[in-house]
Amino acid sequence: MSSLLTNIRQEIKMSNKPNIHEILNRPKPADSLEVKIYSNWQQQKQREKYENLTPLWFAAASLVIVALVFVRVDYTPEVVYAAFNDINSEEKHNVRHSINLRQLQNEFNIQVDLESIPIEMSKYCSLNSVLTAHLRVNDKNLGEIDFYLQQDEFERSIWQSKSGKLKTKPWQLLQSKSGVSLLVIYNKNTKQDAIEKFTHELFFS
Amino acid sequence: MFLFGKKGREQLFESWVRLHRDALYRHAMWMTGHNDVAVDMVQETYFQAWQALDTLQDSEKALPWLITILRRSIYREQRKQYRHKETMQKLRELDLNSTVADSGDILEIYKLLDGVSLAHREIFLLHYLHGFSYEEISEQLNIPKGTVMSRLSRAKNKLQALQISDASNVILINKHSSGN
Repeated sequence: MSSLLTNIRQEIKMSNKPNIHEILNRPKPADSLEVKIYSNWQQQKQREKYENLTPLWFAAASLVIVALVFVRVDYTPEVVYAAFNDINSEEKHNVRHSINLRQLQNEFNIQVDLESIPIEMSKYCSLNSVLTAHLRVNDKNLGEIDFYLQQDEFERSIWQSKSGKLKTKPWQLLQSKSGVSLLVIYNKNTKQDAIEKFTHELFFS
Repeated sequence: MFLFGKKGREQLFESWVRLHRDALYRHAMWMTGHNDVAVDMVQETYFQAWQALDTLQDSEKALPWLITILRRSIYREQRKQYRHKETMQKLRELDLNSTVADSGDILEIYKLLDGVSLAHREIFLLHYLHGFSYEEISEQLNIPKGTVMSRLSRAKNKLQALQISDASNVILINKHSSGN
């Protein structure tokens, strides 16, 4: 009987004891934990947004750079367009020689005797309102070459090219040590090196 | 999970914070015995969970998944030679709503957990704190069900010694009391 009473007393005593689940659940996080989690999450989302945008910005910037380079390489100065227009207009007028070659030689300080060169046509023209001498040489090896000579530097923006192609014909802007500016237009089949060599011998020697 | 839109993902994540924050904190708290470390671990868990949200196959199993992330953080921390610095007095402070007598239970459990390995402690918490079954623990930890059972059995014996009932509210036999 006393044993039974002891057991009942023990059970009553133990039934007041909390269970393990209840004890394990007692520790409670401070309210600041939720605030910290949300704060971290917001920062994380902001960073993701930025990281997702970065490649797009990088791609956009790359495209702009490529476009600028493309423009830089391909952009043709106005004087070249003017020269091509001038060549087209000559076909209608059938101009031959309207310049005294000796005078031209002196004017541009050319050392080579121009009369020894197969010059097909010579004239003065206006390229973008600047007086320009135009010579057309027809060399048996190099083919037809148009030279436009000015005393001053050709008007050209810094991003514009010094050489290129227009209507399949290559063109090049050169300048001598004495300050004479030269626009050379030649056939597409002629090598650039050969043209440069010929031009230097003719005008810059 | 990738089927959820941006808003759906955010709503899901918010619900996880609301539902599982406290459970994760308690898990980390009992595993590490250090409030600050537990808080850091829970933050780290949610940080990684958001990053890896699309890898979760079944949103119904969010809690086990979050606990897995938390576990990795805890083991990483252990590898850094983390030492328990929490004092008994600090542990008492954790149980803000309890009486001095109740705090004694917490200390006893803490001592019990402190005396076993992290692996044992983890099984104990998964079962008694989160209420996972043997099968679920076996699946989560990738260990045989028998191992789970034997480890929990040892924990139960220790609980008996502490006069604490298990989660199923069955009063454990108190060897000490019966001896009195």
